[in-house]
Amino acid sequence: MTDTAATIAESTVKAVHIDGLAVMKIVKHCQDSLPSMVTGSLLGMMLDDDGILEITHAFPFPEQKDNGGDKNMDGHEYQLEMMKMLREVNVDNNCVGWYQSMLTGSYSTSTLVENQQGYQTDLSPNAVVLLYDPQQTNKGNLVLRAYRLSRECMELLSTQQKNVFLSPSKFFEEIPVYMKNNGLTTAMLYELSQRSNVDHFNCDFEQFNLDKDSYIEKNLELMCNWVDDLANEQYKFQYYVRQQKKQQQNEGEDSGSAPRRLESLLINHQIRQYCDQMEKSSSGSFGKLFLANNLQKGSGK
Amino acid sequence: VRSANGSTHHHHSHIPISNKHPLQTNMTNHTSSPALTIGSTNTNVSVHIHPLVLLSVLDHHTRRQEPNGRVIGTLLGRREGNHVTITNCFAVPHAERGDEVAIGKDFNRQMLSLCLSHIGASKHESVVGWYGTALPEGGNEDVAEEEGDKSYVTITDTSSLIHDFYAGECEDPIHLVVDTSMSQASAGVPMKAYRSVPLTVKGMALANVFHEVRCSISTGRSSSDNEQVEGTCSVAERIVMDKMSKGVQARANGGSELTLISAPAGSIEEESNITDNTSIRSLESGMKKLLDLLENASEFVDNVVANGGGTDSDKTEEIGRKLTDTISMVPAIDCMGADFDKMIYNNMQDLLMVSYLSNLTKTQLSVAEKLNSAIGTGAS
Repeated sequence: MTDTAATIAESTVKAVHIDGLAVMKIVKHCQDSLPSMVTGSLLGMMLDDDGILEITHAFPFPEQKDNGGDKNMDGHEYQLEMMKMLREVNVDNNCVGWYQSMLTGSYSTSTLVENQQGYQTDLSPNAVVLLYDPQQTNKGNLVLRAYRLSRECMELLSTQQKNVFLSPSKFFEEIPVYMKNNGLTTAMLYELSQRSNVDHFNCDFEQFNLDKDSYIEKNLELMCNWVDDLANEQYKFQYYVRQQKKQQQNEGEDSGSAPRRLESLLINHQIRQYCDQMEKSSSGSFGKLFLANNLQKGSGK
Repeated sequence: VRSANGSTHHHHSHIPISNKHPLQTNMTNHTSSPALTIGSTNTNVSVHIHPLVLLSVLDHHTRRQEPNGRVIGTLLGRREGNHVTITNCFAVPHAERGDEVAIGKDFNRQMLSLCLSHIGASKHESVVGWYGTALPEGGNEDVAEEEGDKSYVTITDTSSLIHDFYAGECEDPIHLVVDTSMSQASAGVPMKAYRSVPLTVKGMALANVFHEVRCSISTGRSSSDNEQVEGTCSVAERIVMDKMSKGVQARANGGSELTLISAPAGSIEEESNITDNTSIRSLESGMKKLLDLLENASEFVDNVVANGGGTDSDKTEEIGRKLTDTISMVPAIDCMGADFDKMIYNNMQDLLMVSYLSNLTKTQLSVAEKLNSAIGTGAS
């Protein structure tokens, strides 16, 4: 493994270029597996000079079967086996990250941070996690975002120093995602769109849908839960401080370790995400409502 | 390695004898020698293909090793009576030379078990056939670019052998051919699906006849009866295809080959995101499109009213009915009435409240952050 100095000198990823095929595979896997969350692996290549991470293929991880059949491969074994087989048909044999489905934009959890940290230390500091949101992907929108842990975050996590403060917004670094296709696919798509006068795949008119989907409600509900969690973390901390005071007075032993700060910082970040999502969605709806109102009023005259 | 069985029939869409009618004809064909039988020519089979399969096949073809002329792979999906849905596929290594074909059987079995190990019990996917791309005439040698068209064949003798192998894997396999030759004759990348029935003479299987069956790409749109056609792809997959199509069109208009999917909030890239469906800009372009469609329809109706129908009155009537149906779907609301106002007002109030709450929460979070940072490194 390269040492820390060298890894910082390597170009950091600035953009992700993903093949249409990989996007489709991710979307299909996540949609088919609703309502549970699933993960999978990303294959591709890093182009060093431009800081571009190319993702050409993706495959899902097997489900965890509790009854443990005899063919129940361990996740790591499965990955190796799959990559070996894909190499035989000339697919890029390079694991560059992983993907996960997130429900209504919830991703700021310590499991994700740990997983991503693992990937960024073992695999490459440029490993990314692609998050796909099946609920937000509707009405013609595709929500697929790429994140990695920022450098400061990695440094703080690796130093065993607990409970150092890091501003929640500095945890994750989002990277723009671009989609591209190979020549044959482009030709096919072009011909499909030219062939008939009906746009088979067109989603332009879905955005006009004014009905109150449960998106905002879901967001609010989740936010309530997470705010409760945040309150819990606060109580834990207050309790700890009180214990400490008592110890100091009684000159007793150490009251035990302080509660982890990571949790409350992550919760903070997630709640902010929910707020941003709701704002975006409600501002879009405002616009549509005003338009609908004026349109109807105008035609009534 | 299996070798060809000496037959030299060229298998194209169908042998002339069965050309009468695409409907079911069964058993012996009385116009020819009674010893010659063709199995049930059931061409009512229809095939729906999920777009993922096509993308996968094209990707595999792009990655093939020279000098293989074509690639093959296994198709996975579901079969319900006469309706086959192909939902997934994977590549299988193979080699062919002249009349001989070698297929990676172990690979096929292993990959199949890997792929099926992650499907939940509810989604039942199994082998339904195989795919192949077009093969240049004259075997495998990838002839260097020359003037004029290389002729391509889509079904060859070796296809028959491969098909036999897959007949062992599943019942009545579907053979999907994606024509990647990009020759003048084929526009774009056409695809055809075939079923094979054996041709027997005096009880001895002689050759395979490949019958073309209807195939179409699943677009995720429900049929006009508002019923979800069994086995269509999800709305999300349609959105992905839509983004890709838009990207292709943008490129045809001189844009870059990349389509932006997402960018960090407030970054430069986000400003230029033309495919973002939540922005006012996309609302505007959508409205323009809708307006165009409405103008077209209204022009058509004016024409019909003025000229009294024209030659194709059946078609016109059908279109007229469809238009009426569509327009009658718009709910009748008294837009000057109190109800409408109340509806709009309520919606606005809800959104305002949500907006206010989220702003309040964000302020609260900032305060919490400041306090947290002031506490220092904590007792460790």
